[in-house]
Amino acid sequence: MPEWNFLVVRHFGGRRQRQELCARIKSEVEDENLSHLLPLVKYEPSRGLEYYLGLAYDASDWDAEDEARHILVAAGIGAAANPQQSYTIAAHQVQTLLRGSLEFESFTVPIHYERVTASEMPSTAELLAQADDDDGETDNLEAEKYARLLYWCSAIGTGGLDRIKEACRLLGIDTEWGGAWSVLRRLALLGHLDISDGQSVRWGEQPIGIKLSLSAAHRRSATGGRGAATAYGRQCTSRSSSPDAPLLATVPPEAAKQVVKAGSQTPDEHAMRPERP
Amino acid sequence: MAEYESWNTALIAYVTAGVAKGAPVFLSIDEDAIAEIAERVLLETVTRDPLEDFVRAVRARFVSPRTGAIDLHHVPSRSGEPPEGVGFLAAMVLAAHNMQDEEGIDETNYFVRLRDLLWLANGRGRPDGMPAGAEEALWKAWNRYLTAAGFQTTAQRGSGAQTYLRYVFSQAILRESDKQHLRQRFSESQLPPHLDTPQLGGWLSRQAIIRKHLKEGLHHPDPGRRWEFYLSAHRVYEEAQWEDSDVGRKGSEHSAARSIECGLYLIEDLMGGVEYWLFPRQPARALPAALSVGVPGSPQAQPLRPLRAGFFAPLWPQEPFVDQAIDLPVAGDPGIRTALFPRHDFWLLIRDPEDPLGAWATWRPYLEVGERLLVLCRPGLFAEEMERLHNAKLLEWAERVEGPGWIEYRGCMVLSYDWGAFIPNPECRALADTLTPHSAAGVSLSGGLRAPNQNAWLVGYPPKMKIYGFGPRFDVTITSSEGVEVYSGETPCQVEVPLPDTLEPGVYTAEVNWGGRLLAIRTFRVIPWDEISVHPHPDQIVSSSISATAGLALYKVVASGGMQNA
Repeated sequence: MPEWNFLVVRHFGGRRQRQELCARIKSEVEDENLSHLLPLVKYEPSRGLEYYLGLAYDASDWDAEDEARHILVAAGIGAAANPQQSYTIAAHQVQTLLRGSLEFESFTVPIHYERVTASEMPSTAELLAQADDDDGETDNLEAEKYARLLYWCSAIGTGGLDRIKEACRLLGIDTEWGGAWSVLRRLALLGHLDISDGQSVRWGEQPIGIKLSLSAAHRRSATGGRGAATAYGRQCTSRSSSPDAPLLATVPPEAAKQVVKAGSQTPDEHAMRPERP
Repeated sequence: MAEYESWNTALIAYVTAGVAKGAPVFLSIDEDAIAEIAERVLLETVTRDPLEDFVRAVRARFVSPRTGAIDLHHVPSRSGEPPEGVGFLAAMVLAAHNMQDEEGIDETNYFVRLRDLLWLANGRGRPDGMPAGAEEALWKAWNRYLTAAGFQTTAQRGSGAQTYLRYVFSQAILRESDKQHLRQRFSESQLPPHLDTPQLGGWLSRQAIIRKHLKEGLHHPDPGRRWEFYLSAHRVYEEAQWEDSDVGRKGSEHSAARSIECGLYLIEDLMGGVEYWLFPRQPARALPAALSVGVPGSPQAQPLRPLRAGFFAPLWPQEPFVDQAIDLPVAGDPGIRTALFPRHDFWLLIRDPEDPLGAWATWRPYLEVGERLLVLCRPGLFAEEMERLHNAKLLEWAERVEGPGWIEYRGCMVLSYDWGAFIPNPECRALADTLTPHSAAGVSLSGGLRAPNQNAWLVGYPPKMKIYGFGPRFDVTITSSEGVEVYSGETPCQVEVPLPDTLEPGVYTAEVNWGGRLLAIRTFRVIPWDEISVHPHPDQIVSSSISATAGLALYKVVASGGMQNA
């Protein structure tokens, strides 16, 4: 943390000379690129010719006091070179010690305040009223994007529609609320995620599970984000269950028992090793 | 005697326990730490003095019984696995902790301490078998391991005479003599009980301390290093506070039980209503355990559910400002005594660092330059001080909201570096000190697809970089761990710079310089898709309502509640 001290010297000059001196000091500081160590100068705007001037320095930096002396000397205050004719004072004591009112000149540039405009998210009821707006077929490229989205959801674990929307935008799936909602509802219907009640949509990854097909008894699909496919990536085959659905990991029967066993454990932070999409 | 491998594993577990991902890790091992590891972490039983056992284990692994020379060859370090040299490095840092304040940090002084610790033959300079730089490979392996695990590294190479010693001294926090000094100071100052780490750190930073190493640490421009000094000092404070108390020593021969420090977590509904919840932070260097905390006014206890590394899930609604600190009993680990909700006059909340749209909470005890924050303070004096800061153009906010017993300043940003010109109200000095920028510049990374809790972005979707600082432009470089410069240039403030989406998986370091001085440093990773980690504790959302069927009227099976028609 900066520890602000002032190197204070007595000097002489009228109001205009004081301002000119401060301008010289500023120029010296900026030329030496020392604004972060010597960020401002304070001076008394007193009526007489005698006044005190203090250059702020960061005392937590061992070189800063010497730099401050060097700058004041370069600006024409020779007394600053002599420790007998100058004083080092903590920032909070300067006002008390100099008693008079003080003006200051800053050598740093302030940060611009950034205003944030919040985007309006539709309510759950509004989303439920929307039709699925994606009727296109899913090609291999789209399937890869969905697979990536699902991997990412597994890592995030829980979130709102806004996070899905932002991830979809980055992955090039869709950028509108309705598009993100379509994606989310499909992931929910496939059993990877579930969606909470409430004013705003909230989703959570489902625990690892095995989905059996009634029509094809031999087929077992891993559900619950990509957690299911985690350690069994080499045994699973990734494929779309329907043209416009995200990829599903299909699990061979011999691996299904292991999947169930893994599901009873905390998935913890094991690295996922799915097949590359 | 415990095997060296056991000590090595235990040391790694100890220094990374309770550390949030993305936060810095220090291998700051001293005698107290060795005793605590022997008692609470080491799987094997130590039959003698823990320090002696540790030294014997290190000697057995690294000191030739025939020649008495150190042998640092053949120390395996496989990718993703804990490096084997951490125990030796810990011994090096331990030797640095044994140095006295007046001892200069040169090779002669330091290696006398190392020889003494490892029972090596007397002599000057480096011990036999350990030429200059012999240990660097071990430090690099340790840094690689931490980076891969999602932490920030802190061990750094120096220059000149300190090229290799800098690694050691960058890890040394409080020396034994500093601890003695602090014990005496705490005792003389009669500090009140129940100060948390930020309060104690703030108090220490306002003290006139002449001890060079301690003063440098407490005022260090790197917030991570400064915070590590605060944490160590707080351990000394807790020991002093409970040395006469039976509960303070429960289950521990060598060190006092510690507290779980609690902050606040903001829960906001869509109508704009807010509620603050008690937000416990996992204590640093305490291994995970099944903990429960006593519920006020109830005989029942509530389990502390891990939220993520470094944090437990919020517990229950809590008034932000209390007249007296609240001490809640904790069960499940003899090394943890209570959960402490301190008496604060203000709180600083930031957005979830892992989620740009996430919750506001006391995620981090210090601010980064340019960071947006929510200031919550008591009405009266502190609200007046906020107005003074605003009028001095040091601070700006978007909205001021009054609640029962508190005032919120939302969307706050610290705008100026001219805090040296501001004279704070003495009673509000802690507020001004906390808001004062610690550095003249900072690096913000946002956007992209972030892999949570790994300080990493997914390949193809890197973050955007924005420099915040108190100058018009800064010299910025981004370099890969292989030394390849992927970005370099004079970069204006507060302009988003998209990083190239061709960044290969690896570790990258952004450095911000102004006038030839390094002002900020930020490390991040780019990882391939197959290194995503599954979230360990996702919210279990199971809903049988219509929204859970995504709006389609279906017959469905709800596994948790039986079969239902939806």
